[in-house]
Amino acid sequence: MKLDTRLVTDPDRSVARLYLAGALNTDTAPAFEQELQQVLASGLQVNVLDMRDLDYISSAGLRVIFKAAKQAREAGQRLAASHRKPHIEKVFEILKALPDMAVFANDQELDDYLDAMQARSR
Amino acid sequence: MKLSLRRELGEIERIVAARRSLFAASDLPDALIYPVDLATEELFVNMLRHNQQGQGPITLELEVVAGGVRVSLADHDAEPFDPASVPPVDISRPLNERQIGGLGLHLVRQLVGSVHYHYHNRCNTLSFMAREEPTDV
Repeated sequence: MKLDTRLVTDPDRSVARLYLAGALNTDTAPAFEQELQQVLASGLQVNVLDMRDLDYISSAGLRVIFKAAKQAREAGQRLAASHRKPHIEKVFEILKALPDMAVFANDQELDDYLDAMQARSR
Repeated sequence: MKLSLRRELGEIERIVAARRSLFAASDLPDALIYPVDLATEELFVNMLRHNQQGQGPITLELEVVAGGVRVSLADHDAEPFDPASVPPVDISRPLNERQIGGLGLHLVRQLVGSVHYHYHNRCNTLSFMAREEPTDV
């Protein structure tokens, strides 16, 4: 299975949403890493990986995400994950590697977070 | 079901296609799809990484057994590599600082339990059983 991505940016709120669909595995992780690096390089504050259509992730994909999360935090940005399917949420939890990331179960949680970020920056 | 895999990452797609065929032809629960896909990919990639001089194909076997699936991967011209020799991953360390391979094996152990290792006549075989967790009655 391939990985398809779609990027939607909201410069006014300084948010990038990268929608992932398919499989983030050892084969697709290198191209995804390049794309994610480009997203972060655009300098937006909050970068959300929307996983509602992500069916599969392996350790190679998780490694890319958490490396980018750490890098984003060090650059004063945030990398977040949203809409994780239960089996994907489970592997995030197994790895107990979330200190650099925010996670959102749904759009409401994400919107609340973005509103709070905006309120803080005013 | 038996499959001969080339030593390249693009073969992950064929692994998934084979697993799909197996599940379509049986009444295996969907809950086993992710553990089987993940454990098979992680072990296949480990075999490639630990035997980069290897030339021949890697044989994948998928078999429906009572309550689940048995998966084995055999590298026919390899030095011994027992995943149990990989130290347990230190999950207190940042993910990007953990050792390559250890992370995937940690996930495999968490999702399907132990990985069985057998080495004979330069053939390295790794296998596991994915079974549905018993439900509370």
